[in-house]
Amino acid sequence: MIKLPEEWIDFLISKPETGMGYQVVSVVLKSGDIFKQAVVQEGYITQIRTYVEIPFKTEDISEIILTHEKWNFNAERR
Amino acid sequence: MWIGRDRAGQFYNPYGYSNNPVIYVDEDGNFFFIPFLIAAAIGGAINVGTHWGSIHNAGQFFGYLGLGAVQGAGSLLGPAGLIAGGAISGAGNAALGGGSGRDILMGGLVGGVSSYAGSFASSATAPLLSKFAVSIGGYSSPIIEGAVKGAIGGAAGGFAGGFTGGLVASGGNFNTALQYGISGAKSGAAFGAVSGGVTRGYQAYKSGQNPFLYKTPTSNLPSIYRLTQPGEKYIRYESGDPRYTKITPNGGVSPGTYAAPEWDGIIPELDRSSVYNLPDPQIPRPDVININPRPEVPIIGPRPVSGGSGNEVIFPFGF
Repeated sequence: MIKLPEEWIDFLISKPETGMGYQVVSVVLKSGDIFKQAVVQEGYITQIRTYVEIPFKTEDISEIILTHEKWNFNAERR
Repeated sequence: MWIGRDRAGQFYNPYGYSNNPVIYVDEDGNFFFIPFLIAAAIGGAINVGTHWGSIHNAGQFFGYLGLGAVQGAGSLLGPAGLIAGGAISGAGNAALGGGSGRDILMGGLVGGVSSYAGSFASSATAPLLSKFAVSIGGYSSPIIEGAVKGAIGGAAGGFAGGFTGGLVASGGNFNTALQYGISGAKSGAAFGAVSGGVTRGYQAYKSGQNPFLYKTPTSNLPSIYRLTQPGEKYIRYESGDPRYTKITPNGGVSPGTYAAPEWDGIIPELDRSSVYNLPDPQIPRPDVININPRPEVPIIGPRPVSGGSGNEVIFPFGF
């Protein structure tokens, strides 16, 4: 998991949850790549759907969009 | 019955709608006549059904049908409607059955008292019943849930109402009251099953659900708001890091907070992710926080968790 920049943490803290204690967001990288379903918990991106590891670094992030598009974590739990 | 006041002021009792504060919802308050039609139709059908053996001609058929319809529609008009409808139906049924003047008087008395007492008992059981999910052979649907819970509540209400009415009418004779109570329980169960199933099915249809099959929700879009009742409690699991808590300093929650109903119980820490379909627990949540909202806080749910076995509630505006 990777730590989010403080400005993104403050932004997400003020927004509604997607479920108990987490939010699902889309992450846009400076390169233009988009990861549509990422989980944010307590200032960290902890997982991205279909990925085993987080495939980018904090400094690569350009934008974070709160989408609430959660999925069935139980069905895809590794 | 609405959880909050009916802003349209359509009924004598601003909270009166279907006698069940948890199962049934009128989302917009704009189709007040439909419950009347449903209640009248169900009341008529039930009254015909329970007197089927006494019906020998068309006049009696339509007589019982009309009396049941009056009682059914009257049940939506608060205490006065309940008592008047029950009394008219009870007296009319006795008259149609060829009863004497005394029978008609007693029928009216029992009908009026039992209708009101039955409604009270049915409402009293509703919060208890709302805590239990209903399935038959693993199959569950809004109609089945409404029918089963309606039958249980109706039986309890019918027994209480019949017993009370019988006690009053017989001057305190227990055996007579018990007979009336059992009879009331049977008709109450039948009435409750049909009205509960129809009403819950219609409500599901209006909210976009499949009335015949519960489908696991796939999004977090707000569905139906309701207002908390006194004594409702919820549980939330957090890490204990105050920066990320959704609990406010006064013991409330911030807008958009999720929690679990108290009746789920305290789930062991290792099972919380699977029960509530939470992401992988890379950040543990050992803290168990009790949430006690004041009455009439707008919430969504409790509803089944998509992908999990637990239930969840959302506080859209905090409190």
